[in-house]
Amino acid sequence: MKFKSLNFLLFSAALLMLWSCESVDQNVAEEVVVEEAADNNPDGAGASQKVEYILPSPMEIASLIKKTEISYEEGILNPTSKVEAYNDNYKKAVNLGVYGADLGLILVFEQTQDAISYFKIVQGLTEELGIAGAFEQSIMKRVESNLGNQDSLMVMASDAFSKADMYLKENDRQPISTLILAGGWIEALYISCSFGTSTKNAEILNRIGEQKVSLTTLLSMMDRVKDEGPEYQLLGEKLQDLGASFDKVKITYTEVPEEPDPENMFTEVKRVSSVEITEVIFDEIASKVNALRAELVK
Amino acid sequence: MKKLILTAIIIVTGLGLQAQCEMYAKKCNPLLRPYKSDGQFHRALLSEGETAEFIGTFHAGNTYRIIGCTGPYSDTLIYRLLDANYNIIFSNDDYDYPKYWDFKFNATDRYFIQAELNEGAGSGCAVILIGFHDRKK
Repeated sequence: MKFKSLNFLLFSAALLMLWSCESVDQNVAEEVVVEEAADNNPDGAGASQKVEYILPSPMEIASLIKKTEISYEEGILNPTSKVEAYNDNYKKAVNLGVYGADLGLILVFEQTQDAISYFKIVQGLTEELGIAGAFEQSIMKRVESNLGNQDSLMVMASDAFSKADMYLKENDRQPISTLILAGGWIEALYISCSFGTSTKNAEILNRIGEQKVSLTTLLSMMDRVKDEGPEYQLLGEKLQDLGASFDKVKITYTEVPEEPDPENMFTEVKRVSSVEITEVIFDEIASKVNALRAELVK
Repeated sequence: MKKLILTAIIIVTGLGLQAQCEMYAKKCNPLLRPYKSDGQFHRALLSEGETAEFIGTFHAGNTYRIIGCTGPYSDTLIYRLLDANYNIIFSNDDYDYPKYWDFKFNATDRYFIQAELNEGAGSGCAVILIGFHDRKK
């Protein structure tokens, strides 16, 4: 009897394996549906929609900071020695994002003396979170042999985070993915605010003001995971409070027709934006970001 | 025994779906170069007639590559870029369904990427990959 049952089980498993490789079952597919898009659709078209959110990568925000031609500031990063204090999955995930953003800054500003230690920290946290396959076994050797090649190192780091995100989403661990992204975004904003505070550089302040747009996306992402635990809910509330300060930033847009260039598979989206952020509003945002970041990395 | 069978079914089905979306993402990943990945994996499992919408920020001054991949019955994914007011900026069905297109933005704003399966594709996984470049194309 036991043998028959086992046979049946194996047969079912094999049949399902074949079937799942051939098609995507609609019922299972619907489990990935996370939100109806009606609210995001101003003209009410297309009722049958599935919505996913995209947050700017810390690497991208770091490259935007670099464009303002400011100098790298020592001591701005979260020290690697603090990693020992992150002893639960919430702290590990948030600080994986934090260290990822720090790694982005290190690479963008070509501070290669710190690259190896931050790569190691990021690799260690992905392993502790049980994220398989994000870093190849040989990654540290490749990092060491590419220390002079900023582009290669940025590709390695971006690809590792992409693989980690893929693993988490495909293994139904979306909340951890959201925490990593939130940690990265907050750290990138903290770094930007630190540069903004020390320089009061108008371009930096404008770049910070623009993050009002990304915060809207992050709030939507946090709303989806708010029931995962009190710490998720608290983080969401603190981000909402930050959003109240960002609401004071004014962004206006001027519409200009885009110019597609089919030969080069390229379109320049010509509409332009203008950001209004006073120093008082910036200080309020920076103060909240500093407090939030301090809470996350302690 | 029922519990065991059910568990096996769930595990095997999950593995199959995971392999599908990952497979298309890995297949299209080389198209990102020389752009750098945004470090995220954007995907939705769709049936014919359904639309996936990916909402995100693109920054003024940066250039981005948007890649659309799908499978298993068709490798053609229809994707569109819309601005915050839902005006269509680009649709790949205007250009014979290229797998990727590059965009330079002069305004930092929320944009929408919509993806849907080609007619007759049945059901499948829509994967969107995004790369950024901090230099002008």
